[in-house]
Amino acid sequence: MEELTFSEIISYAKIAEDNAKKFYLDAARIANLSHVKEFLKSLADEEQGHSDRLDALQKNLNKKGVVPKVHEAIHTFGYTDYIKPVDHLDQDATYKDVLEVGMAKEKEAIQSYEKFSLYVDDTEAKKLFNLLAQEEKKHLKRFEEEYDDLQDQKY
Amino acid sequence: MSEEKETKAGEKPKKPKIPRQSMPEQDPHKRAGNFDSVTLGYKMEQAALEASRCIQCKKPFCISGCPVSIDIPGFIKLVKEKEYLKAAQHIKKYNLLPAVCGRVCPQEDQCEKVCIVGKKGEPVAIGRLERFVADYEAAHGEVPLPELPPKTGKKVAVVGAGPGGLTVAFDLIMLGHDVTIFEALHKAGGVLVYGIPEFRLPKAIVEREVQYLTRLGVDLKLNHVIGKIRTIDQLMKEDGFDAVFIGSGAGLPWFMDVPGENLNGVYSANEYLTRNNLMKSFDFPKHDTPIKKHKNVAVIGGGNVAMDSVRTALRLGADNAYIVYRRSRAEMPARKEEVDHAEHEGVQFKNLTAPVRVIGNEQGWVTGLECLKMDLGEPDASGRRRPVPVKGSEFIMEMDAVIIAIGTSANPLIAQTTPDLKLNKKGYIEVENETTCRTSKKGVFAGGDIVTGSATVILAMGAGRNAAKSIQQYLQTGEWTPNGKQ
Repeated sequence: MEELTFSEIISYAKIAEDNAKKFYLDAARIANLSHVKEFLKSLADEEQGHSDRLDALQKNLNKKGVVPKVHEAIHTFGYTDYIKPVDHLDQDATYKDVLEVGMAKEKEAIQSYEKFSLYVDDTEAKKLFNLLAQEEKKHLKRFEEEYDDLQDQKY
Repeated sequence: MSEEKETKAGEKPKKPKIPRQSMPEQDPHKRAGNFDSVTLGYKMEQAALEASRCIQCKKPFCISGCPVSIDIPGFIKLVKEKEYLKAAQHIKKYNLLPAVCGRVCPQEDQCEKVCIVGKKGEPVAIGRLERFVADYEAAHGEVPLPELPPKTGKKVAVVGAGPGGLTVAFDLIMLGHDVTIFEALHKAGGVLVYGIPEFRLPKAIVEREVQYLTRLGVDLKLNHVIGKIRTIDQLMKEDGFDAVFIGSGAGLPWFMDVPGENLNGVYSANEYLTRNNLMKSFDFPKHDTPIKKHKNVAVIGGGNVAMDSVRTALRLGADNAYIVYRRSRAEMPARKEEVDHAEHEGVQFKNLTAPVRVIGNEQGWVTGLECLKMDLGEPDASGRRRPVPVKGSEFIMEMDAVIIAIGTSANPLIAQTTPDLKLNKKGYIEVENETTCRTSKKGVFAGGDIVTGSATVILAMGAGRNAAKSIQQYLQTGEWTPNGKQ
């Protein structure tokens, strides 16, 4: 695979975040339920936050030229391995539907970065993809925890 | 062996401790085949003996442990004095549904948890005494209706005849307001009639409590789905209601969203229990609604609803009735008593197990359930360790019915037709706080599961009580500012 610069990798990641933001905003536009609409908008804001963090990472890389190390292992629950795949949200989408789509999208992002890290030879580029995958795992876990909280009859 | 210990010379012997009185119950093998009450209630002597265990604390923590603040020492004192009808009258000042709460409240987490007697032994059996008093009243004549104050001319609509709605209605009719309850189903009681099975809460008890309300003058409109027949706005603008309380509960079941969940033989616990409890399918053809008898039934979940479902499956004739639960027994949210009863009746527990696929035949009927073993990982916000799948641990259980009891959410009907009603992201109604129960819409209050998500009967009643106080304040002052301040 042709070597990628940090800038190209970050640009790719930013496009992915922007697409996710657009996805949530589009879904918010058609959502019938006001609380789901608000939740989708908040997810779009979060994606913007992720994109901003990528800008900060880009600046850091430009300055130091070294990819920060991934310190902690994030263990996700793997719900997306078992639940039916969901890739779209219709106007009657519920909070749970949104969580399921969110998990599916984060999983897809993790898989992409992990795959890319295998294809590049440059050690720093590999580290950068792993770092991005790690970030997406944090997002996935956050979705999973909310989903997990729903899947439990409290009484 | 005598509990009385030997005493030193000259020392006054200590009064022997009276043990907590156990409640008689049907034999587990026998009861697993019928829908009669599992527990049989105290006899008079047992009740009096148990009441004598109460030490009449000067600062009784039990009252603050009760979400509706029943004067517990007060009614127990009357039981001790064998004034059972007076005890019933006394409880009814605080609690409209003592026969219900005495049966289904989690007293072990509320009043009995803080009982001083329980610090050095077993707490006073407050719930059993409450049940005894209410049952005694039912068997020995009704408590006379209280005198009602003059009418205020104010009209209040209560949406939902569950425990929260019934409590609001009771408190407001006692303050002189006109109260109309709109209930979507053909019977009042909410979860008390469609959710909790006959063997845990006989429906005649609920009917009796509801009749007490209608005798007091509450107008009960059944088969009225608010959000369809009338909207909240119509109730207020066209029908002349001065305030509305929404207590519509959390009746929309969650599903697992695993493959095969649409096969024949997969039920939500709501459907399964409603068919049995409300529509009496266990008594088909005497009642019109049938239910298929399944041999191997898996109930997914570990809460009280799961226990009710699995014990119902046994009573309907299942050879094997399983609880399939993601965590271990220690994390089960169901009352310990219900789990123990289920186990004694023959329910099999598959803990640390999560379903990943429902398997069916060519005709579309369930034939099996593929599961995965789970391990416990990091604790969640409540301190319970989260279940984590063990990869590669899949196994298949032969099954012909699967009942999903993993939780419920709010029905969106009222929210969809009331755009200015603010909801949280899970779809529950947002209230100012649990004391005022005020929603984002002037004159509209909410409480119970529609605010908190699935909780207990008594918590919904506590919310109803708070809402009634808040509604009264609003009706008297017309003020609608945060915390009632100008």
